[in-house]
Amino acid sequence: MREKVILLIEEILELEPGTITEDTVAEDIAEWDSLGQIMVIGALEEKLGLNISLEQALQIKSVKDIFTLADI
Amino acid sequence: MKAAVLSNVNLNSVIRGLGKKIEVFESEGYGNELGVLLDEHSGLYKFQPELIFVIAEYMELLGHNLRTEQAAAAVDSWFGAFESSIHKDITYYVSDVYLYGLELLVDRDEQNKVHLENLWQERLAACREKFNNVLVFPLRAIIEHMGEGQVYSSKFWYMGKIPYSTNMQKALQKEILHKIELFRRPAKKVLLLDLDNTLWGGLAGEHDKSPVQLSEDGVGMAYKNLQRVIKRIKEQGIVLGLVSKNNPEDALSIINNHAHMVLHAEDFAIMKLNWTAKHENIMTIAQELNLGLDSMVFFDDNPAERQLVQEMLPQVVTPDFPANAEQLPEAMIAIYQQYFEKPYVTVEDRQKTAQYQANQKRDELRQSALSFEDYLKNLQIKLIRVEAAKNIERLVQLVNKTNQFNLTTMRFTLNEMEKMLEDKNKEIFLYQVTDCFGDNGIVSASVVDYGEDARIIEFAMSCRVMGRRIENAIIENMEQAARKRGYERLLGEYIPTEKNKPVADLYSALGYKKLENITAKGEIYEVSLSDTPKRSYELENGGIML
Repeated sequence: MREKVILLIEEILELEPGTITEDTVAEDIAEWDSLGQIMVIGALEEKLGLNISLEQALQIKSVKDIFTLADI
Repeated sequence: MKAAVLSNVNLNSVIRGLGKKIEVFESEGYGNELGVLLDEHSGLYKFQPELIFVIAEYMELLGHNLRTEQAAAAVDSWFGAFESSIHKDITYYVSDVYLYGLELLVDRDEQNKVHLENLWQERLAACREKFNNVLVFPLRAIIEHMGEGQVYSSKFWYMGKIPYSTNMQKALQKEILHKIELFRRPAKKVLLLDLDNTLWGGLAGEHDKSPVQLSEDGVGMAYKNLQRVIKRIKEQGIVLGLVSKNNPEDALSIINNHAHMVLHAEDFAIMKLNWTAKHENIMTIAQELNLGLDSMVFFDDNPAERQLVQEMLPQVVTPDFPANAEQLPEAMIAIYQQYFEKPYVTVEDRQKTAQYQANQKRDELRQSALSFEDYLKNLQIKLIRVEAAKNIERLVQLVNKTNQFNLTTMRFTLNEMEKMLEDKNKEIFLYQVTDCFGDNGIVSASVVDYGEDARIIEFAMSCRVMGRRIENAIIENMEQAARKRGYERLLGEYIPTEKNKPVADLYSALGYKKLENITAKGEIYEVSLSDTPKRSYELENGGIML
């Protein structure tokens, strides 16, 4: 599942494959701004069934945060 | 091509995706579509978009007030503001609407939903009546096709006022790119079709063994649906032709008699039912219709035929044929969208097939006439001057698309043409031609500039009415107009191009004298208005009708 999440983030933010790793933080990726974050969270729910609540979504700052909040 | 996407909701994710493919306006914030449109100093106009997409999310626009009077007032006020923001040199795609809100899922009232949606649709139609640079963006069709459950996302809405799911955002991008493409690419004009295993299943001429498949059941219905799609394509002004290896009697017996044929003989502007190689037939068709090979699409189930045409005539598009007959209707719709669809269809477009068929009858009449004058008389040509202001789309199309009979090949945008209409020192001459075989539509446009001299700066005529001495009557009409304004001479100009050689000697033939030692792009001709030559033409009622 973690692999799928990473691939989906790359797809949604239209990044080169391999750009995102488990250690990536949002700050380091230009496309991962507030709009990018919304697009990622929405897609995680639609494509992978990972539900992250609105309030939690605001706190996400890294790939690790996503893994923790989605419990994967 | 520069485009902008504006909306009353947040479509920044859609815009960001588009930005990787096209030059698109990036606004700060979102949801202020009317504000951006109305502010002449907004970044939008500095960006200078040629196309603006306005996507309206209806429930938000109505503020969840679903009472008819309030909704009607909201719609009216929106369009009032929008219409006052319209720039003539920008094309607008305004969306139609789909009403969706969670509260509507309680006690669904489809009738009221459609009623409220129609308030917008009707106001949009009225707007299009007033502004020919406003077109419809088919938001509703996309939503109905995907289903509201797939389109709307509460999560996205709460997170960022984005009403749409990831898939809908992608679908919007795709449709916007498609609309932009329609402006970029020239549309094809002719769809050439095979018969056996293309318009019906099986082979004509073998009905005793097995009748062709064309019916209201199973695979026969797929062929019938394909024909329905093609019929509709034809109604958009696409010319249909048959290029099929058959005994003509066998093929025609099905075309004329089969109960499930949707396409009939009169739907085809041209038929080549023979055993000649298809690329040769296609070259003949290009000559007979007087259309370029690069305006043709050839659809045939036989890969060998497609390959031959591809190799011999690479300008002709030969799309792939679907593996199964049941995919035919959808495959044809995709072909239509890719090659034939145009931003808008004019009345002239819709009459194309009839015009080409009438041309063939005219050719027959010419061959049987005793003399050219008899032929022209028998044609019973009526030349009617029509109002330019009421036919501006056709006027623009005519001056911009005509290459052969076009003396100066000047091109004008809609906006420039509208300015010219208002200019008192310019007069536009626009003519419609009818004859005993039907209406040829509006086929000639010229512009006279009344400056120090009166001068014909544009003179174009569709090739479908060339060779009927119509220009003799038109030039006299322009001369008469210049005379009335007190001019003593009228000037004409010929700027040679690759394509307008057929009219290189037109002004000489009309009795004009070439002026020497003139420094101009082209050749300048003059005629003295007190001494114009007598020219012959054969028109009903003796001349131009108003």
